[in-house]
Amino acid sequence: MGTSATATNELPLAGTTRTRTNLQLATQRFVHHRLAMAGLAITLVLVFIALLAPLLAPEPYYYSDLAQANEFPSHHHLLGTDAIGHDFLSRMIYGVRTSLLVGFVAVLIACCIGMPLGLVAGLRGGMTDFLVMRVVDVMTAFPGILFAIFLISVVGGGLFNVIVVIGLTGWVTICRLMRAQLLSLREQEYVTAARAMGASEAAIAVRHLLPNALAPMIIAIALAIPTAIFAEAGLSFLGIGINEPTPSLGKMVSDSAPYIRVYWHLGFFPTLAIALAMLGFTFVGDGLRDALDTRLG
Amino acid sequence: MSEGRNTIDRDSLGYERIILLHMRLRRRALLGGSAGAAAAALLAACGGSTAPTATPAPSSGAAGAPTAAQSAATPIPTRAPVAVATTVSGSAPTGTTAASPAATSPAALPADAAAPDQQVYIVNTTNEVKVFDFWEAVYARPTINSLFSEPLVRLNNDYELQPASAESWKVSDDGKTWTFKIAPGLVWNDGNPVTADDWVATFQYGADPKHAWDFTWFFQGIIKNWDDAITGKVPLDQLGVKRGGDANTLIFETQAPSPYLPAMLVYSWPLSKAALAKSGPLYNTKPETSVSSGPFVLTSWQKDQQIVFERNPKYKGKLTPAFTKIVQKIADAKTNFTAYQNNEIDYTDHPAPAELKIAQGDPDLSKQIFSSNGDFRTFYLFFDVNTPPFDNLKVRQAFSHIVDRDAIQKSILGPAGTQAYSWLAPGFPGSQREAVKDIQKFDVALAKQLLADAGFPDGKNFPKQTMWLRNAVALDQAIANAIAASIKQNLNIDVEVSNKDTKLFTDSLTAKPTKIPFGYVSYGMDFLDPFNMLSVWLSGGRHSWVNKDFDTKVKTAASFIGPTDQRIKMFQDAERILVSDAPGVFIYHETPIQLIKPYVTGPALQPDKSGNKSLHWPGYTTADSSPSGLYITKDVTKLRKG
Repeated sequence: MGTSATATNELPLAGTTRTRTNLQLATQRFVHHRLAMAGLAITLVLVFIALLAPLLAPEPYYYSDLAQANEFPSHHHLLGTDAIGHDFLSRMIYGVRTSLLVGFVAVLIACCIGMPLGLVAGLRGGMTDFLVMRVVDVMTAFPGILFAIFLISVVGGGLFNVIVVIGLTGWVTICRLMRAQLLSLREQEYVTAARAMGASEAAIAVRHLLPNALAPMIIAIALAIPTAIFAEAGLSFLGIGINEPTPSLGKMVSDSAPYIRVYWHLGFFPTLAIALAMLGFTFVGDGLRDALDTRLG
Repeated sequence: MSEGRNTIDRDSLGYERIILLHMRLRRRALLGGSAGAAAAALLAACGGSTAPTATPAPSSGAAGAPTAAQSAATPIPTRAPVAVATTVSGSAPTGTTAASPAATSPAALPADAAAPDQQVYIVNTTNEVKVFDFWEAVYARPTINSLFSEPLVRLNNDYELQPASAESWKVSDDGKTWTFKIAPGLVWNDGNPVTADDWVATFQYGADPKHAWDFTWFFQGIIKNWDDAITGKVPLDQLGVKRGGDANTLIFETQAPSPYLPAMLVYSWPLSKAALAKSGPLYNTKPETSVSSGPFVLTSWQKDQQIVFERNPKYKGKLTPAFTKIVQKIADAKTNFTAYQNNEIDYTDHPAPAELKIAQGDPDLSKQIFSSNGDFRTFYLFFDVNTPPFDNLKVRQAFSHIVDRDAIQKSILGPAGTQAYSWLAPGFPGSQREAVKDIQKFDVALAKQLLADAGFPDGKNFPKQTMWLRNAVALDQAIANAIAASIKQNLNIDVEVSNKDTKLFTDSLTAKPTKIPFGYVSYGMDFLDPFNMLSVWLSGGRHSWVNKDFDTKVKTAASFIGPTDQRIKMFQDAERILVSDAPGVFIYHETPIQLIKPYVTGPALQPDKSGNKSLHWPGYTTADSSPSGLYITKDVTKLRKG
């Protein structure tokens, strides 16, 4: 209370000791980063919409009434209707839900693959490291989106396939990052000390290395989510991502393209939603980077 | 931002944000759109009309307009009208002697026609043009093709068969040998006469396994020895297409009585035997080697730019085209509508739904919209009837009653299609939509009841379905989505709509056993006989449905050489079985939209017998009488650019 934001371990007056953990300091830095807070607000709103979609949407996303097709925004349908009479607001709400679902789960998959591989490569070194890095090199040689298109054309579209494919194409950077972190961290003195005290490699990895490697990982994850969202939107835009009737913001943009001269609302709102989702997470990631960055070497 | 060694790359998952470039990779839109537009445009380029059938030219000596006599014949002539075919040419009010196939220059044009140097017809074509000849490659031709020779028969504006290169034909008593008499006096512009040998050479070239023609399936099972010739089992000279007693007699031998053979021969544009020998089968791809017996010749072909045809001064056939020049600009199909709006081209078809809306809203453009019959294409849902749950008739019937075709037509199709309750489209021989309309009518309560009777009350335990689409364009995706929504809302069955590319779809469909349990696809006719459309549903065809009664009825009717109305009735009985057993649910008949400039007019654009006003299939080609029925009016100078 009453301490300035820039103070670190200011010595108090009269005998009391207050220390701040690094976490608290980072949080403080984050909170004072305006863009980050804006991004966090946007992100929270979108997550809220996604979680409560069935309650918020006026109609189920699959409900269509052909007689009301292609209507402009009105009090009846707040964002108008699309070509086959879906209430567009409902489609948007569920579309946001789909986008966030893909974003989170795909990145989760990427982490589940990339983090263990990077951990093992960084820790072990030698042949394991060599092999993992060669796989990473091969994967890096493929442009991500083209590789995703290729995988989709093999396994087909659909929500599940899209999530898995995006996860499969995205683990590479996380793996490399993890490995780089470990290469530097494993030379730290506390690791040597722990080893001298007889801790097993696994214990060292889990108790010492992993927590310290987490900061950049968190930033990477925060910035990976918008990429995943955009990748899904892109695949659906190309027509090879999510299938109807599951709403997808990318597919809505694609469907609206021929009508852009007449029914502008069909293209404007989904594009806005995609942009907001990506901006929100990107700002949060920037904020995290600034907040946690000073800890890094 | 910190530049520390742990700087995070913005694209954390390694993607380049170059997705905008990959918008060009809209495979489905690109391939589907241009292939669909190209293929459809090929077959529906410009229609044609017949001569003003009511009045034979007063100076014409031939008695009785042949068109009147042949109008009495149904569109499936089992025996050729043996009557001598006098000139069926177009407007010939001034002294063209009827009997001779003369009329090389257009007869006097109507008063409002533009001068001959203004009679230029301009259209767009896509860049997939490789050849002009049907018998070289069917699916690689531009919008306007097949003007360099004339088939044996052609269609008039009422889809009725007329003599073209052949002046008459007859069939033997056993129905398996056809004798065509080639009209005398027809010549190629290199001086050689058009003879039966040209057709023999053409059909042999089509069947040649080395050629690997993309249309060999068409004559399989029809022409004698065709099936063995295309696989190389018999030499080509054994093919059932032979010269008769003299140079002007052509014989066709068939495997079984095939009363529809003349209808199939609408596609019999001959190649020149001499030119084939001299310059090879691609002789028409270059002006210097191109040889024509038709009303036009190839003047120039600038690759990636434009193709120009001009009148053939040595033409001796019966058509009387008014156009003196045809220009085809090579452009992306997506630009067609804009080019049409800018008066750069005179005709376009299959506008995107949004483009159609723009046209309908524009006071001038709305008058230039024509709904054609196209190739009588029917769009339908289909089921794999051999696996549950669609092996249950009640389930299929439930699905057939769940589609609100009226709403789809009103909200999505507009003038681009009409409701389909049966297989044969209105205007197609044998069509009986009104008679069978109720069998698959929209009735939600009935659908729910049937589904409950089938053991899935309110959709309980019904397996989730995926509806396969074949590279569908936006319009059909919207329709498929609407149908899926209706199934979900009314029957509580989850349906996912999945748009597959053509090859995957076709391979999966025709695999035995089929890999597609539920899908949405279309079929358009190849020739004007109910056998053609109904044969799609025969056992062993593209669908897994097997119905012995249907097979027997269709096959018997196909080779029936008795009275035509009896034959039609047999086909209609078969169609009734098809509609009742519901291996497919019929959604709509496509009525492709054409946009035609007001200065392009003529008898070809007059209403036909059933009232349809459009450029009829097969378009501006010698297989149709339309070249004689179109001209440019003087208004062209007001509108056309440049």
